[in-house]
Amino acid sequence: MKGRTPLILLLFWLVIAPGALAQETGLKRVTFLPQWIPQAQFAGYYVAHEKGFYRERGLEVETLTGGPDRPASEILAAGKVDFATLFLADGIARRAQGLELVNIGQIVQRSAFMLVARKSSGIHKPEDLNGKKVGLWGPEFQLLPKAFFRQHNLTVRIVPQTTTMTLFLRSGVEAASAMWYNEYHQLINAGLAPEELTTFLLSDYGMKFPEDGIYCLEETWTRDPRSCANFVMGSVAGWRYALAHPMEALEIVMKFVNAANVATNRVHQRWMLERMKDIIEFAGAPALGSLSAATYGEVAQELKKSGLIETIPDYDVFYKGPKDR
Amino acid sequence: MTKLSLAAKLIILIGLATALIFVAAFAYNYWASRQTVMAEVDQNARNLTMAMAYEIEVILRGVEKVPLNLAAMLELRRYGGRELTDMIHSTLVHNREIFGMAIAYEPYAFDSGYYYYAPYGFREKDQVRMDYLGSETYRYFYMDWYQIPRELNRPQWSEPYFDEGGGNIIMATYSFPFYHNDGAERTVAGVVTADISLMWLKELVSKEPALGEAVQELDLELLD
Repeated sequence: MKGRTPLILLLFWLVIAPGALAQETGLKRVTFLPQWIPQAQFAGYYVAHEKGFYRERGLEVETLTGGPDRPASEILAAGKVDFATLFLADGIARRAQGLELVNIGQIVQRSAFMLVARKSSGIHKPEDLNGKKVGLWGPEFQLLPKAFFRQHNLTVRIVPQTTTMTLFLRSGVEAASAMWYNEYHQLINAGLAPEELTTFLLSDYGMKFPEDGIYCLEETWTRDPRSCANFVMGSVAGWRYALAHPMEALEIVMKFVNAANVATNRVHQRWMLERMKDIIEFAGAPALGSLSAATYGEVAQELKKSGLIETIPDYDVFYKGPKDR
Repeated sequence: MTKLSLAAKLIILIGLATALIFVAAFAYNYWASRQTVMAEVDQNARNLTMAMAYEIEVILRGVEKVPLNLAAMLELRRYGGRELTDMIHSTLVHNREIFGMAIAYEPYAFDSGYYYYAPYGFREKDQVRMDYLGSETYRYFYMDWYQIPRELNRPQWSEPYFDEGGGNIIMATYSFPFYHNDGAERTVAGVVTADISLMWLKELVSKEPALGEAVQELDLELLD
């Protein structure tokens, strides 16, 4: 799989970004918003920035700080940023709702989203969540758990969840959202044993939704496909380098984390980077950066079946990134 | 080879035996003294730590009383904006250990025209400065210092955090919910908070030389 990736990406360049390899005389300034606070989830983009992979491709990328108060899709829709990352399900739903955005590269190929609960709260199976207080992040991240609730015919009381798990740890909610690579490990570090927790990894319930992808407005892509392709190529190069050189990538991640005063530590970020490798570069994974029509169709169908979208946007309209042939 | 006399043999034997006993006694004495000294040092460090913990505890308990009292006052009647800022300013002037204070209201609870209403006072260069919290990029309803006591319906200390947009320092916040009584109904109206600067806590602990080294190690761990 690894061996054919450069060829695929080269095809991508040749097809939609002719001339992108040409030497730039000046750097084009673009802005990029990851959908959450600085952490190893975005290691590839930070590495691309620090190692000059964007500059090599003629881009001067300003990486902004994301988080719950800076919803990526809203900021993208308002035209305040050129590129942003979103979950695939959120990207499809926004497009179905009429926001003219396009996916130009799919980085994370597996879902790491889970709901966690304490076994001591009597939650052992999905039905036990009925009527319970469940912490969910903002609208950007609610599609998967809402599809899960509909799948099991559950009515829950949604409590807004922030960047910490403190509300769950202090029993302010009975269940909370967690990413396998982040909050789950935070809970273990906070002293909970894995056997004390009930976890609902949504991919185990048929929601095998790829997550972080790179998005821009369709207008941006139409106006400047070369910069879009260059941004994806630089990001893919950054991810490839980060996964091959995890200790160096970790240093770069910590630089961004510390600059944003994120309360975390090196051990946790190292765990996160290792888990990112598990959901990006696993045996049988599609080419880094690509989204197949089949995967797109499965996710879109599941969203429609769950009543979260009414129509399925056309794959060729939605996806403009490299193809995994 | 010259054969040693009995007297010489006895002298050597007794000498060696005496030396052996002396070395053993010296070694035991050294070990016992070291154990005693180490036990005393250990006990002293424990006492110092306990004393410091009590000192911090006393200060924190004092800090906790301040939002409690303000919350009780806020339930007596509805205050105007100027009264709230004066209340915060005066409280900070008279409570040096508190870095900042907010009276943060629920959406539209202060006035139907304000979604966010949270006057906030904090220290800056020996002065008390006033500001207002709450915006699309600082939705305080979903910050731990607001949301956790509100959801749990009881006062809470936050975990340490960097308060970007508020005090812009590493702090911990004690938050006390307050209520409005509308007839028979008692609803959450907001949260009164008191922030303590963790730099202040670090300086307090650093003043004790025996604990200074531990603080430095803690710094390194935090940096990692």
